[in-house]
Amino acid sequence: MSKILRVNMKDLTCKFEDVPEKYKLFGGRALTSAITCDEVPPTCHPLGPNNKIIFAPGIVSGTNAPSSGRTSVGGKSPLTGTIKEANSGGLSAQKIGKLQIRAIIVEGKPQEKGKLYLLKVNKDGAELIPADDLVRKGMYEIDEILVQRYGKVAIIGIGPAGEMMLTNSGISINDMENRPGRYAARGGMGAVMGSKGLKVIVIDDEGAPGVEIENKELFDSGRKKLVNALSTHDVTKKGGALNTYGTAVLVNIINEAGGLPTRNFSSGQFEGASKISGESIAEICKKRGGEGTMGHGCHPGCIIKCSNIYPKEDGTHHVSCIEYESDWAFGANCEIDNLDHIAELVRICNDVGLDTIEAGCTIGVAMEGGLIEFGDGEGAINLLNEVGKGTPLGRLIGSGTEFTAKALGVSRVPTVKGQSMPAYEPRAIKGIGVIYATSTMGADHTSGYTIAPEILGVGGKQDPLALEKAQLARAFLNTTAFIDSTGYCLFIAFAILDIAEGFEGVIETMNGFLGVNLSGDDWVNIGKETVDKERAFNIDAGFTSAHDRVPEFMNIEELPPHNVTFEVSEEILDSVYKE
Amino acid sequence: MRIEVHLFGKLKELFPKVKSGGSLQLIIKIKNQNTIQDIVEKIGISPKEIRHAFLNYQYSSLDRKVKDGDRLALFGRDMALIYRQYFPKIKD
Ligand code: SF4
Repeated sequence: MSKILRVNMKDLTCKFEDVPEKYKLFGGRALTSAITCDEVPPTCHPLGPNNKIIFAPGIVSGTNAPSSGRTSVGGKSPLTGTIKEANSGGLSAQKIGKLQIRAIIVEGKPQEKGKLYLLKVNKDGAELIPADDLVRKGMYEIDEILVQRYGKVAIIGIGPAGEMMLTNSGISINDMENRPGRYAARGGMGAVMGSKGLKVIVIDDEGAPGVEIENKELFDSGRKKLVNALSTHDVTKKGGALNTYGTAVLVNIINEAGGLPTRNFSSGQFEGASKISGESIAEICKKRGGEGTMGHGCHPGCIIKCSNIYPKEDGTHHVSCIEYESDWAFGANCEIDNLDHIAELVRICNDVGLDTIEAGCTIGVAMEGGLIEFGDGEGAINLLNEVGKGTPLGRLIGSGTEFTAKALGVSRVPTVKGQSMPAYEPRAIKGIGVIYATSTMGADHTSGYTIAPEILGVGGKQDPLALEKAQLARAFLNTTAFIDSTGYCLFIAFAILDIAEGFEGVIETMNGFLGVNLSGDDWVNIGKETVDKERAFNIDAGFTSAHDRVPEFMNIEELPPHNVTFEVSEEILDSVYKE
Repeated sequence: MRIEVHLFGKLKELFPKVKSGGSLQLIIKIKNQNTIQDIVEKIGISPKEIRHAFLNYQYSSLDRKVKDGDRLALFGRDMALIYRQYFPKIKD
């Protein structure tokens, strides 16, 4: 029987509750967002006692469905002030699933200021243990200490940035090598965890009851269909794009499209793109050998395996992983074309507990503001190292792009709702600009798919039917919210959007797992309800359509090489959510 | 007409001189009006092997015509664009 674990940090109690009937069909993001909307006052201070942080594996996490070990982390974001769901791979989802826990809700704040705790969850229950010995430690050391102490466990934790409650703090989840690197990174949820005095959660599934699948036959049939789709699609199959080059396969492609944001979003092309491309990463892994590898999975059972282990010159581990967004954020966006510098910058983020996208954009505005020069890799490493030390400069950088831009008088600030943009330039790739502007989470590339051809005509001219099509766009936001709730990695989308049987397989695994008989439309409709709830939360928190905009500079500065501005009208942006 | 062609990923392996990380650049000289597909075939690549073509940085369909001085970038099946849906394909 599945349970919800409620942890109260004020009186230091842990109790298990039944899953309310209304949450029966919810997992992952659907569940974290539903609980946030039901229990968190939208106007609360994100670091105050009334915010909560919720951890939820997806519905099929813990089964043998492929690439299904994703954990959602939700609550109110200190970076954006909106609702937030940050999603990560790593070891936790499957273990929480096998313990038959649908969500862990952490609430309240410890009475003793500055006190930190470790939450231990296993088959016998849950307990809070003082974590004085882990104070100010980085995630590499913590993962090592805790694996020695507890064995093969999942470790969800925050580095020094989260302890200091900096608004760019992420939450680390250990990977198969028991290292940090998988992150529920975006939106500063690590600061919320820090504000609760919770340094780390240890999940031990030794002797766990395992998942209960209601209709095994249906589930298995769905699983096979999905495995087939993933193993045949060019993007997701073995030897396919993600497996061979990782997500950084995009560097050369997006650069060729003129949409690779460069030097703090002032150009769409980077001269050094080839040096930081997925091909270059693969080449270095092969040449240096040792631990270096492409086609690395972030959790057991992922068959796509888009991750990598980037080696030092002697072949020992430097960091896992350099994926597209991190590679770009520290690379093109900071004009750094040295992969070893980029690897070190990612490693610092993994250790100190920062989101790489936000950190890279922050360094980008710091470079624009004159703190260091564009292209200065060593300078960027020194600057980022300040965060873990807790110096005033470090706290500035750890507080994100918008905060740093304000402090330095920079007006080219690539954020929406306070969250920095990922690696696709809205002026060159307009569809993603629509997603950045209207997502309930701030600028986020994972919020929706397939908008561009639907909402925009060729070459950025608005299609006369665009208003109608904006509603179609909305459908894709809903589909994404649905996938974020299943436990499947969002990267299955590439295959299931093209292969109908794959989508069918996903639906069958969901229905089989829960013993229900919902159609694909029914499930996507749950995604729609999730987005609606999230939006209502944001409205109650004070957000209006004026916040659903790209930053002004994108409407007035032309982006080379296409020399275009964003051009999408406010009317179109506002139509995305019109019924 | 002179067309600058850039090959990425495994397409580079068709030629012995592989440049790491970036593209392999070829200069193709042609006389008549040609499409992207004609150029691809002229290089000796089957159009089936092309996953994405960018003509002057625009995501393009293979039947688009090329003109003197154009830049053409070709990506093979190993380099599928994972956010393909964001790119409207430009046709003539
Ligand atoms: S595809 Fe990549 S991110 Fe997704 S589950 Fe697999 S390794 Fe993790």
